[in-house]
Amino acid sequence: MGAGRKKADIWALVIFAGFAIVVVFLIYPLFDVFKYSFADKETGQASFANWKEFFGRAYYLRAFGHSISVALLTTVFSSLLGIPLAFFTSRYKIKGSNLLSTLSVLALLSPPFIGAYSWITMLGRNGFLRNLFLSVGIRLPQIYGLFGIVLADTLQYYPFISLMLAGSLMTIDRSLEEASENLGARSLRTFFSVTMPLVLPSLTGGALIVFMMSLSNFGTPMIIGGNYLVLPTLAYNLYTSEIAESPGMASTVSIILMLCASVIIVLQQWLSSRRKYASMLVNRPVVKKLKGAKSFFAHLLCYLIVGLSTLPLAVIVFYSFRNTSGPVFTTGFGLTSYKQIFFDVPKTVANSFIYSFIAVVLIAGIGTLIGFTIARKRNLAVRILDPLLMIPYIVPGTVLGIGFIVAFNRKPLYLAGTAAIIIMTYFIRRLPYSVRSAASILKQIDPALEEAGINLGSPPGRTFRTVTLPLMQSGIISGAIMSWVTSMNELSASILLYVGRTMTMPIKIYLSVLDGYFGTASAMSTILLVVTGVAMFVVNRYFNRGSETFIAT
Amino acid sequence: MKRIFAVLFCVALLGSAWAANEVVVYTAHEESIINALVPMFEKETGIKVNYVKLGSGDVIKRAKAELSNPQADVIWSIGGEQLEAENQILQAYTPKDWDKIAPVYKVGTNWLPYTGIMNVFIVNTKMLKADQYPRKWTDLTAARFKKLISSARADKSGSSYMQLANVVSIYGDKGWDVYTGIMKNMVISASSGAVSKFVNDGEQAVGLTLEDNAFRYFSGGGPVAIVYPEDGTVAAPDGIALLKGAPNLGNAKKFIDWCLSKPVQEYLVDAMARRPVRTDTKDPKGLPALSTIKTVPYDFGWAAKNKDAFVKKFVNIAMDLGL
Repeated sequence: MGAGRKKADIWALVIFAGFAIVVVFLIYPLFDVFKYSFADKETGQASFANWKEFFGRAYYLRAFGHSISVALLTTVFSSLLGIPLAFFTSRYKIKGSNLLSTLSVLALLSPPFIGAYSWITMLGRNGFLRNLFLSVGIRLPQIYGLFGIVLADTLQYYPFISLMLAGSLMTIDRSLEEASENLGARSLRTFFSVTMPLVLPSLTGGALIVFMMSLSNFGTPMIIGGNYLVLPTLAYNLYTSEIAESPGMASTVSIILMLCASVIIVLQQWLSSRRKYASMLVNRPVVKKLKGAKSFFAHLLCYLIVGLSTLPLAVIVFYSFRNTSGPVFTTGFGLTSYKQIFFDVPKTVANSFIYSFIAVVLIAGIGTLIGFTIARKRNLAVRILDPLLMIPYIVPGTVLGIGFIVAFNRKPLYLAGTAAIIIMTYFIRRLPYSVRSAASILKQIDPALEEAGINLGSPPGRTFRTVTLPLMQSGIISGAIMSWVTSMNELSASILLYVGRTMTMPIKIYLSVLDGYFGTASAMSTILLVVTGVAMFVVNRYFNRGSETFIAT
Repeated sequence: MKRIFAVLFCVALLGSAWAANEVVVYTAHEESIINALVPMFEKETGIKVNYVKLGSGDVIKRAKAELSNPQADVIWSIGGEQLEAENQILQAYTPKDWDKIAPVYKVGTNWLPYTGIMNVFIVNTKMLKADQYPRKWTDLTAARFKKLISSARADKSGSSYMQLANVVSIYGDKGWDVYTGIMKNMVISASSGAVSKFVNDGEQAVGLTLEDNAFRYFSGGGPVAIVYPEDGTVAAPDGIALLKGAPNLGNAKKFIDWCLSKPVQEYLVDAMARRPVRTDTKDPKGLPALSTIKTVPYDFGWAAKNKDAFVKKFVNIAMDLGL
């Protein structure tokens, strides 16, 4: 009885903290932004004018259609790349799988602005790949528009699916697949009728992230979209253009964007909760060795997928060493771009690392605790908190940034111009990833293991520490790494909140691309890639002594 | 967990306690210019420059959002008509060398001229032969430039607004038909800074940009040429201004004086091909003399007063065209 009470207290505190975070860092700053949506632009009176305009004008509806097309196509193509990659690398011995996983995480890391620009240099009207294909008589489709956005988004975001999927492919109960094979099912049939349903929560979880990222990404469509407007670019344009006015239309577009996202989240929740499976984690799948042609094709496929997504990075590195004269690339190679950025780099690099590290510690700690309550305690408070925590998924960074500027530049919380406001942006934007990741791992761990601990006399707090936490460890690390990766990459909110001393790397890169200085932007990106690659390698070695951290967690 | 919050709190405190001998500047200047000038100023004066680089619309937006608790001291290098339109958030200041500033540029309310800028076309010399160059604003409406004109949005970029105002001040009400015709051929670029880059790379054939920006690609050896529209270009100053409630007033004034000093103006001329606002500084080498270019008079009051209406009209047309 005493143990039961204490248990309730700890988790009640977590739930309370969860609510406090949501109220202070989400609802409070977003409220001002949202009330504009229902205010008349001229008079400030409550009105539906903005909404009437949205649904009454083909311009907005077209952008709406564009957004849905981009997000759906990106999700489909990311699954087509992510599922086979996750399956082969987690189940079969693939040579250099360590390198593959590192490269695919690096693809995630390349800031969207410069990744998109890379694709223009390859497949643009005067792109070198396009010219190469043209010289052998093949005319590639125009990169500007839907094709380019989906291409760039897919090759950046598919690792979300392969990472999450590989994670659960490694932890499902192997005996279920063995049972299927013993009953005579061929391996392909086993895969679709046994394995896939088991990993569906992870697959749909990964697909959800891809959908959200491509739906709310404005960097890629901004650079590569040409005149193909999507909702985030529209909201951004509306916000930045309404110079002397209230951001009414931009807010309305943002809310529409969030409504689409909410529908998808509900759908994913329904999909993953329809069937529940739990594993005792006693019979983990083994990594098989392939032979001959099969091995060749598995390798070819994996390397092709990762190779394609690494291509924009290779272009970035290549361009960073080209000689420049002002913004123009000249012949030959050298370090001019690196010399140019030397002025600002050390501080900027340090800022990026310090901010994202502090944010990730907070995210992993608080996210895991909340993830646990969501997976295990389905009381009313949790049922309310769970969807509230999904808000950051659907809030475009720009909108959150605007909310933060307004809300935290007045009493009682002055944060404008501090590092804390950037850190809190990272924290609140990425908290759901950690919560999701912790919850989805917990869904695969049978509560019986924890109950066993409690039955054996261990208090709930200790049970959490000694039983649940070690089982979740890999999930927590993979969640933390994803949060870190995306925090290092955060641009759309921090661009509105930074001051000179809180400049981060993505901001610096964005500013250089914006000015047409692709050389310096490439050099900065290359530094970001190298530094991140090294950090990942260290984590890899330290936590898992081998190939497993990024694909296997 | 407490310890983490403590660390976070300390970081936040440190961040705000940093503000010692500094000046906070919001700027739409190109990164390369900032990187060159900021260390020079810091070295000469010992004052730390905290700069935020944004699009010019965002600079205004941010400064206005912070009015109740001003964070910044100076707005540095954004379009004159934007400063004119928002002059109520600025405070007047007479710089040290006021008598050396060319009277033609003394047009602002509460803001000061910083450099002379001008609308030009940048063309890709591999995609267009000299006889195919657009020579006038009206040429840009031709169907042969369909999807070949790179431009930023007039509702977001100060220089694009200046181009729109340029066309309207030449052609009056008909100017809107001309500009709409140009818009039909446009591929929108995310920023005005990238316009020349797209033309330089052969992605678009013509770009609408500022003279100094185009010149950097030309002098860098890119396959580009600069065309001064024969039906007239606007030559106007971009500005520098002191914000109301500037927290570091003294340093802000020093920064403005420094930006208008002869060595800095000469540097801007040499390195950036900007035209100086000082009477005792020469125009950039390699650029035609101002007297040989057909300029049209530009009324800042008019451009500022009509800004809201023009931007609304632009957005409406852009929406109809799906831009």
